[in-house]
Amino acid sequence: MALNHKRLAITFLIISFLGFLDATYLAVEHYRGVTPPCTIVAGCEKVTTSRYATIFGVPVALLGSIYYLTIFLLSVLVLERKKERFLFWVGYLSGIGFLAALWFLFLQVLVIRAICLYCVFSALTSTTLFVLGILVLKSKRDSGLDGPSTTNRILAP
Amino acid sequence: MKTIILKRNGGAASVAIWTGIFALVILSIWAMASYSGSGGGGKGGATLLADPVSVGDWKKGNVEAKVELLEYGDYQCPACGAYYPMVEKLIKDLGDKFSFVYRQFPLREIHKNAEAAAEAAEAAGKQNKFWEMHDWLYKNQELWAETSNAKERFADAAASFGLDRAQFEKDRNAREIAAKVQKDFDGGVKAGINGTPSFYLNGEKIQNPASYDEFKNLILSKVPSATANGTKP
Repeated sequence: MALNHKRLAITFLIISFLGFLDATYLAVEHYRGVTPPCTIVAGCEKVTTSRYATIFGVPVALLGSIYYLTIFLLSVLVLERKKERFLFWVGYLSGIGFLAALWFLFLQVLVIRAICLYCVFSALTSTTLFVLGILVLKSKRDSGLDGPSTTNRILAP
Repeated sequence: MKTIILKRNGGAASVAIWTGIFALVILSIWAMASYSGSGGGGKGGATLLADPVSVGDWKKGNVEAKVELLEYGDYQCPACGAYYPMVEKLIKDLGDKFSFVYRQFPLREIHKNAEAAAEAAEAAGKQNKFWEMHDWLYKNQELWAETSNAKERFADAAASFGLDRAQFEKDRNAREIAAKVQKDFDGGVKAGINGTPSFYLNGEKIQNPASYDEFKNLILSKVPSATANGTKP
């Protein structure tokens, strides 16, 4: 495996773990059934109790938690099984995470009009993962690892 | 996932890595679960009350009792609103066993009417109706929380339970009232809290209980006779 890819996988591993902790915390808060306390620094009560905090009854924090865990486990697979293919999966996945982060930031700033620090942290980790994802897909295109494909060009211009 | 890897790989190192990863994930979930509900993230800091309860504090329940529950609250905070009926029920059910102390901790940065509400309660207290206003503020939180005429509504409420409206208006603008709210707030900051509600049981910070029963058992565990009877949770 290219050294470059190994480094990327390790970075994915660390960032996705931080994201996992963050999202899991919010998911646990949700399922504890207690109204989250009001805090000066986090300001999450308005955001996490808003109707945008769940999709069809599933808390978005839980979806986030699963997302980060998936990236985390895929990164472990890349490092442990030396399967670079999974690294590209991570690259594509990070795009979805980034779009979700943009959507949630939009909701917080313009719709709910309250900012939750845990959500902002999540947006930061998702964005970092996305930047790493671009690097991965770019390196894939440059090296032409599994031949040219249309998805390549679309996702990593 | 672990077993599939095992069959395909079979290496001892691989087993160790995946077991470690699995343990790490479980441990993280557990850690986040215990971190949650720590009452505004003030867990890492001080866990003791900074300002001892004094004559200037608002108390109800059995004020002579050995067990003392203190709340730092913000009338505009939904979580405080959610805990309000729980605390009321505790006072109703165990009121002879503990005293309840309430202190102001208005989160001005995020709740625009919180300070005015705290001042309204303190001003009502000047006419001996602190708890009446306290109850009204929590029961009607949604009515005034985001409004621009909250002060007006507070004055209407004050008048509705028999307060002299003009005196109430005068009191709540008094420097003394603002100073009392600030004193409460500063005491909370000194104790290391940054959120509401923050509860202290006999001067020690407690995690916000997840249910009424949990709360009740926590208080009972401090009542000497209850522990002797073996009702400790």
